[in-house]
This record gives sequence, structure tokens and C-alpha cells, in this order.
Amino acid sequence: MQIELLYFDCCPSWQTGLKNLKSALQLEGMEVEVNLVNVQGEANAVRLQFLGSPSIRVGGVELWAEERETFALSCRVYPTPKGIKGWPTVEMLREKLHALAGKDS
Amino acid sequence: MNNSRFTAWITWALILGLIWTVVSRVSPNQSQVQTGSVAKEGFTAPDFTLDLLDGGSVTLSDLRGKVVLVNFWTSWCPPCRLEMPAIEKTYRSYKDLGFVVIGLNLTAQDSEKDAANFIKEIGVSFPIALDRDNAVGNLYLVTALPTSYFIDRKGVIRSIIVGGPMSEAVIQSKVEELLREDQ
Repeated sequence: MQIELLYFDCCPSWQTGLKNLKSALQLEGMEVEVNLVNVQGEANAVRLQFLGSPSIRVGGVELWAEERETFALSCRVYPTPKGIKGWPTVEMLREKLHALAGKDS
Repeated sequence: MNNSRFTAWITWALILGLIWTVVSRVSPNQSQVQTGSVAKEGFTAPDFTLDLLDGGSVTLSDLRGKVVLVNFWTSWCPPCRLEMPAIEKTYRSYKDLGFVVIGLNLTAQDSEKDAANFIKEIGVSFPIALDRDNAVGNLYLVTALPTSYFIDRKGVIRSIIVGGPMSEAVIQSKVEELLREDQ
């Protein structure tokens, strides 16, 4: 399983996103490396169909997919049980990873 | 039903009604939002009332007849900071022609102090609304910052720009296009 965290260096929230992702992976007993992808420049944002920083993809698939027509460097926010945050919570990530692991088995 | 039971029933109904009235009232710090509407291009912009950073409040529907830019931002979001001077410049150029900006700070993800410092630093003169409980961010399904909604004189969302920074030329062309339309 390949996990990527796409980020835009200027949005500091990606670091919390990475920390939460690592915690979620650990709690789910998944020993997987997280590949960090630093999205630089608008052209790359478009090419990678970047939904904002941080965005997490498993096997190339967005964990929180969105229908978007335009792509740009932006700071992504997530609706969490505690309101809008700049990252998904550990629980949100665990739920997604758990569902994916279920599909794979 | 005898009289005393009927009276007791009515009394309880009145007490429950009173309790409901008290617990369901909107506190001064709570946003008022119009639920059930959709924040998409071609749809009427969902209404909201928010407190302003400088005091007072703003209600989106009160701005009908004007071209409105609702710009969601936080002070920690670099592209939001980068595009703010261009928004300010456009606002100053077109405000007398009926252009209004609401700088909608996602305050639950920011701090009023940081927001105020940034606004002062840039010299922003348009109203800054404080979304303290994420109500408007949730209503508009904001998934990235900055996000800008261009709303026409009839209150319809005409375009949404996710991400940034928007250039002054982009903002101006959208505003000019909407200002040219009849009321």
C-alpha cells in the first residue's frame, strides 16, 4: 500500500496532518512509509490535481475526494467533529484506513 | 379529562415551552445561518449574519443590489495573506460602484487577535466578519483556504475560486463583469 501526503510548504497545518496520519497508521497496526510530496507552483498543483495542503492519497486515491474543476495551491480544511480544522483527526483517518484495509482483505 | 388534570397538562406544556424558548435562543456570539440552501454556482448564496471585527454585524441578504465578494480566510494561511492586498485594492477602486467585500475569517481556526493584527498590518478597510463557531464555513462547505465566492446583485453565486492567491486582474475582471449587469 502506497501512502502519500501532498503538502504545500507554506501551510503549517500539514505537519499536524502528518502526525495524525502516523498515529492512525500505528493504531491500525499498519507499517507503511508515508511519502511526502511537496507541491511547488501552480502548474504542479494542476498536474497533481492538488486539493490543498494536506491531502492524503492511498494507492493514488484521495482519502477525501472532492469534485473540483480547478486546482491551486491552498490550505485544505476538513470538517471534523470539532468543527473545521486544517487536518483530519486521528479518528477520521483511522476510519478511512480501516475501511480501506477491509476492502483489501 | 377532568379539570385539574387538564390544568396540570397545560401548566407542563407552558413550562416546557418556556424552557425551549430559553435554551434555543441564539447567543450574541453565535452565528445566524440559513440552513437548507446550497453554496454552489448558480444558486442563491446562503444567508448569514455575523459579528464584525470592528463591532456591529453584517447580514449577507442586506447587501442585495450590490456585487459581493465573500472571501474565506485565516491569518495563518499564506495564500490568504498574499491575496488580501489585491482584494483591498479592488475594493477601494470599485466600492463606489456597488462592490462590497466580506472578509470572512474562520475565527474558530484562528484567533481574533491574530486576525486583527493582520488586518491592521495590511490596512484592510472592508468589513471583516468573524465565524466563531464555523457555522458559515460549514454552510458554505469550505474545504480549502482561501475560498472566494463572487455573488451578483441578485444574491446568486456566480463563481467560486478555491485556492489562491487570486491576482488583482482576476478579481477585477470578475467584479467588473458583475457590476456591468443590470440590477
